[in-house]
Amino acid sequence: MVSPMLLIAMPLGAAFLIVLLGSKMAARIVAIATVAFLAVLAPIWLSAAISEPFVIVLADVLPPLGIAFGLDAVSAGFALLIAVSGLLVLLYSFPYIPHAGEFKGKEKAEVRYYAIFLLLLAGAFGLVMTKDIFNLFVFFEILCISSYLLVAYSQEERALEAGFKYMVLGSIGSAFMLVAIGLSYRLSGSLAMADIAKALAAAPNSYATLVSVLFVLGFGIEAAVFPLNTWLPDAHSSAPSSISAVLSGFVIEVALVVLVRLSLNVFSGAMLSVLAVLALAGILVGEMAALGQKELKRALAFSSIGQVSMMLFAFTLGSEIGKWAGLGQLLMHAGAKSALFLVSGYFIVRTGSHEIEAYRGLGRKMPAAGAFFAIAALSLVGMPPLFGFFTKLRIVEAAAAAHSAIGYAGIVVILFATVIESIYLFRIVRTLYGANAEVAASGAASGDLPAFAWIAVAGFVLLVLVGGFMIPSFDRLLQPMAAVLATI
Amino acid sequence: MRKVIGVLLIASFAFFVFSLVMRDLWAEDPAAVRTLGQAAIEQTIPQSGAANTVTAIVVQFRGLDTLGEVTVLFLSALGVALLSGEFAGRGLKEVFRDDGGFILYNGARLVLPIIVLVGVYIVAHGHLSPGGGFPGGVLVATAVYAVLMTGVKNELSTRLMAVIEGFAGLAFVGLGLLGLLSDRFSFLANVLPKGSPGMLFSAGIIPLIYAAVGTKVAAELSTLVTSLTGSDYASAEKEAQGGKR
Repeated sequence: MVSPMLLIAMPLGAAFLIVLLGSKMAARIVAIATVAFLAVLAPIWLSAAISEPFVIVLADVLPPLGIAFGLDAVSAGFALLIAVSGLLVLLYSFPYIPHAGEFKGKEKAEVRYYAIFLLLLAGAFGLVMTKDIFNLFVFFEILCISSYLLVAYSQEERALEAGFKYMVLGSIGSAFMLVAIGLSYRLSGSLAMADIAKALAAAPNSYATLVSVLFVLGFGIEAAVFPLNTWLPDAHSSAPSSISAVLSGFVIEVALVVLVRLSLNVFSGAMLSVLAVLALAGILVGEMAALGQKELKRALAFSSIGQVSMMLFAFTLGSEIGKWAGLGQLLMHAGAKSALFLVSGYFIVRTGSHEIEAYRGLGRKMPAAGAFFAIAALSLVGMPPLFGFFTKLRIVEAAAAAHSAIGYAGIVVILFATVIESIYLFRIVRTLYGANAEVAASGAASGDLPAFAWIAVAGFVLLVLVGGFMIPSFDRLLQPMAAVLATI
Repeated sequence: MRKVIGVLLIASFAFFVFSLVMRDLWAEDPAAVRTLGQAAIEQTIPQSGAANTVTAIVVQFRGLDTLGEVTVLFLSALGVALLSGEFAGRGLKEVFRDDGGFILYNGARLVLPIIVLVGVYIVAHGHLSPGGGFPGGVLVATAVYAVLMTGVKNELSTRLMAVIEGFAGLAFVGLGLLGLLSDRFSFLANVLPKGSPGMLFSAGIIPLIYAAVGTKVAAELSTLVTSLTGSDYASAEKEAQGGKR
């Protein structure tokens, strides 16, 4: 079988190749060919990794001297999600990116966009595959820096500001992480996560707590854990919509799962109860803030905070059904939120405005876009028989099964959040189909989604549309993933 | 008020850290780290054939980290090029217009070949002596800075630099894939003949990787300063105008 190392090597090589070739057409072809190739191989790796995880020896040197690396069920599942989302978003980028921002040297910038996009994918693949804590830091940096750049891509003032804010917070996070890594290395004499887990378990409790706190402070910024996510609404709403989709669709989630996995297995669960409380606070704050937003993408960004906190809550329940439910919600959110952001990108292109009010009646003018938006929004709320209903139901079930105070509190919070979600998402959908003579008459909203964008959005919407009926087959993938999540 | 709260928070965090780990931090010797260091020294020659242990660790034992760091630098350079579009032409360009006077002008010319030569030496001997691709590449790039500071118009083609940069990056990934294709079936494995340690032609793929890293770092940092001084945008504009005619 082809080595899963290609998940790292191919996007990196393709990014270098794009810069070497330097033409827009070549960049598009190289990018799409690379990601499509990985998206085809990813299911094969996933089915192989579920039966037996790949252990990858790098540079022919075994850990602790070398880097521990591998592809298990969790990383393979995420590799599939990243590759498929990446492929669809790339398709969407072809017609969309020329609309993103007006600045000098756009042709060259577009070539660089595809190179940075591939590096972002490489960083995300590396983050889920590595079993070495310093290697994790390296891929984390690749992922973060490419996100900062892509957020600022349009070079509008708000985008530059958001990118800068994101960069400052991200760098602070990296510093905290580095201290945590240094402390773990000092204790264990190894950078392999398995060795660190053993050493921390044997060390005084205070040491593990400190390392854990520092790590959560650092990594939590990227994973958008509640008080550390102040950069998120700006970054996700100012980025080009293709990038908002990627950031909300899998970047936060990848960081979240790595954080949960390390907290559970390496830092001996020291921070789990804290994370559970933060998750509940995040759900409330995210959804309440989304309710008051006038801009569509900002509302969606705040909703991402709520949704990600919901996943975090499910993961912190500690039971396998909790992790299972969290992964299901993650998959649904990747589909629904990507679709919402991608569609809102074309709302902005067609009307030139970020405000929800400007889209009044747009759903009739852009029937496909409107329908896609409505379906994805309904799934996000949890309307049966869409995918979102089943995933949210499972989180509530898992919370009830935990028989703990935090579990019952979680049910209350999640149901309350659902009510709020339905208020603002229904309101947006209603606005889209509201009567507005002005939009109907003006030429501003000309045309529906272009073909490539249509395919990309349809791909994501298909997931939330049929996901509910495919629960048994998804479970065959999610259950082994949930089991592996409880190990390193 | 906010400042007071901030200071209080920092102070309490510092207190927390010190009260928790002071004893743990200074009480014992990190023996575990020493064990790994010993293993690295012992494994250097048999595994990598390099005379320099640090290089063996950086390029081979933790080669993927180095590939990642090269990528981080590549990303940063790409980012500067991407975001300097608006800023170029008015930013640092003014600073670099001045010729810096007679001494700088002639001095830069005089030391230029020496800087480049030392840079190349450091890259080429990375597997033998301290140094390697990163510092060597930076040195070569400083030669470009020196010339830029004398107010000479930057004639470096950014296109050529991008080609060199991309090619060097591909070479690194390609050398890694060589290990994957060999019978070791391991990314970045040192599959080329290792020679005798201490010789210039030894240590298998390590000097080749360092050559790629050095070239890449030099090209990237040169592009970086070119983007910041606005030459990149100016040349792009010239090309665009030429295209129109």
